Amino acid sequence: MIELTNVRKEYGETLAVEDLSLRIPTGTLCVLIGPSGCGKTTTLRMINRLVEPTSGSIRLDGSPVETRDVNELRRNIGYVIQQVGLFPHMTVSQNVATVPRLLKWDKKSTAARVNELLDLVGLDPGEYGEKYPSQLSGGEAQRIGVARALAADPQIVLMDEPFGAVDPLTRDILQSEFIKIQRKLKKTVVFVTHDIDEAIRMADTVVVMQEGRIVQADSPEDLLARPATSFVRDFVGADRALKRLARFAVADIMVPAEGLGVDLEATEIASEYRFPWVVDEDGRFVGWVDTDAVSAGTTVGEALHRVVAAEFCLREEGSVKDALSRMIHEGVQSLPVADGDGRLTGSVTLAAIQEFSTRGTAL
Amino acid sequence: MNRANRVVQALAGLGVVSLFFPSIVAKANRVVSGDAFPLWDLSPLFAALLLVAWVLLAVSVAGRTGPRVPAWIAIGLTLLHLLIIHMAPGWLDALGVTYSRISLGPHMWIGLFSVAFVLLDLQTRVRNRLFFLMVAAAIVTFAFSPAVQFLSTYLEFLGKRDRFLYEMGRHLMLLGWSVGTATVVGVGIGIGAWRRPILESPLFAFVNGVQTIPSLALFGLLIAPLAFLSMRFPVLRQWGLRGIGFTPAYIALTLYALLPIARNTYLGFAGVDPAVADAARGMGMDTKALFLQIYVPLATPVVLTGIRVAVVQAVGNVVVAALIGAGGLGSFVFQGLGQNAPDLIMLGVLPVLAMAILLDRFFAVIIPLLSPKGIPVQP
Repeated sequence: MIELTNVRKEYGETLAVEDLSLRIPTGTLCVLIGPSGCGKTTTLRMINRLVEPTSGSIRLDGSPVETRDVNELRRNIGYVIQQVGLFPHMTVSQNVATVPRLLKWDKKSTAARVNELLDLVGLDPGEYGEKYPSQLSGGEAQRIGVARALAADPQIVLMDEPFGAVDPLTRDILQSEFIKIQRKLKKTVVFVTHDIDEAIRMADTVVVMQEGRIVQADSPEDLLARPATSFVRDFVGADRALKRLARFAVADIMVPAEGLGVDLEATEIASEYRFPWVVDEDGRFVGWVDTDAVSAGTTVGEALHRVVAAEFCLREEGSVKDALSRMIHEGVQSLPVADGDGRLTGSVTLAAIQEFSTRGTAL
Repeated sequence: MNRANRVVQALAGLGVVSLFFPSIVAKANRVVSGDAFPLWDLSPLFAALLLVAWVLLAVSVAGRTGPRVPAWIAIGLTLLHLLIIHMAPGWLDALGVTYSRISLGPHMWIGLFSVAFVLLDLQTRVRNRLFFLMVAAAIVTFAFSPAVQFLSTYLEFLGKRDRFLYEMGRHLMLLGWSVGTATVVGVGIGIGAWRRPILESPLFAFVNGVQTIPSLALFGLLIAPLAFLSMRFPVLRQWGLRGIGFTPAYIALTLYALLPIARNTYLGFAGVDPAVADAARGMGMDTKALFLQIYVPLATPVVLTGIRVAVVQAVGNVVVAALIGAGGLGSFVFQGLGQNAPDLIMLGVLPVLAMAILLDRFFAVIIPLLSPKGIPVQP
């Protein structure tokens, strides 16, 4: 747990951070976000004492940082920066081994750890270990930057706009990979960014800062649903409702649904909808029928509009935002939800999304 | 057409012009001025060959042939010039000239220097190999050609062999002491200016200031105070401190060598990417480890380049030190100037030139070896 209590930082006349208090629970990812000069980077750098606060206290698991040896403290906190800052005269392996070397680990366990970390960030140790930073792409360099920060298995990781300098496609990949790593390792992460989409995607808690103060600290969902001030509302953007829907899964709003069997006689169709869904004997989604167009004496199977379930159905883990987008695109009021085998498990309706969204923002 | 090609063509033009100057000077003895012979009088065939080769060189760089063809033409030109030296006694005999020594005329000097610069201007890869070929050809000529015993600069060397070796040693000693001292002090100044920004401006004002004083003036300026100190404190005189000779030369040469070393040291350390230092500090490197493991290795190639510049400059500056009695190869130069003996001047100038080129090549080889891998080093 990281606790900042009434932390203040002045540079001469300028006030960088003003009486900031914040608790970051162990194992969560806290994003500090705000415009340039809002004090987010200063706050981050006070945690590993690259900046000393003017007043206030910072505690890690209860122990105040200022009582600890500064280098010992930093060796136990991972540190990733936007410019990466790999040592150009050292190989990838030597770079990753920096903190273990400072902690005087033996050669064998250091080498094993380096390989483990390169695997973790998705780079082949055999191919990359002996390369120099000048031979890496921007995305590869930042993966090494992350691996280097995690080398000595620190409980806390500080990341200052780590993916800010790479192209959008690479950024997207690095973000999702780091989310996976974070799910596995459960580090306490302080993450600085000015990209609200990145914040909402990565964060357990988003802390919005303005002029050295916290204006709102909330989960991404609540931040989007209830921006505390007009500044936050502007900052999260006019599409905050859509952003918020991106945070929820189809499973959160779907309702159970049934499909007609393919063998059913047309006359037996008793559906409240004009276009009921159809499933096969195993319950797999196969398509839909137009009830107005079926004539007596035929089965549902004969009047079936067949579709590919994997393409047409929503997945439970898909986002509500994508579900909405699909409905708008297809011009439909509802979409079926299927599991990995294509079995119909439920449905999502436009009305449900609307209600869900309104309830969230209206509260 | 790129810049390098234009330079080579200008040098080729210079080579053609050189043919209008006397090629060989035949002298009856050391004192007389001798008779100068243009190459056309000695051997029209060689004159024509040279002319063709220079023109070919200029043409060869106009196309897209790469550096290989012009390099081979340059080697051919070198061999032609060396052959002229080899053949000269025979040609003079054929003309019925009596001589005891032969000097090279302006044509030969201009021609040889043009070829050398052409080789330096061609691309590095070809350059090194061919440069050594050229040196090897020259050594073979001087080792085996009977014509060498008539070359006046060689005769000067034979007459002054012991003094030549002594002055050469003295030249190298002055060079080593001054650049060695300047390296210690200059690296100190560079790091001091980097660590304490408040020192940067006064330190560099001093080092830059020294550089603006003409070398002869600086040598002269040191004579008076050093002479005074030496008179006032006999102890110092016992230690070898005098107004002229080694001490003022050593001080002045050291001061000159300071600027490139101090400036490059400062640039080397200040040029380390702040993000690299921030990452290192953020991961818990203490000040000592940060300095020794990050700053020093990253600054090394830049500092060594400063030392390289200082050494090459100092080789030339030591020549001037001869004027205040410090010795070195410059003493032949100034003695030759005084006696109006160009051969003697050459005896001083040629080894200085060779020394500068060899030391420069030496650093070109060792700087990449001493620099850490992974960072770009200029060749």
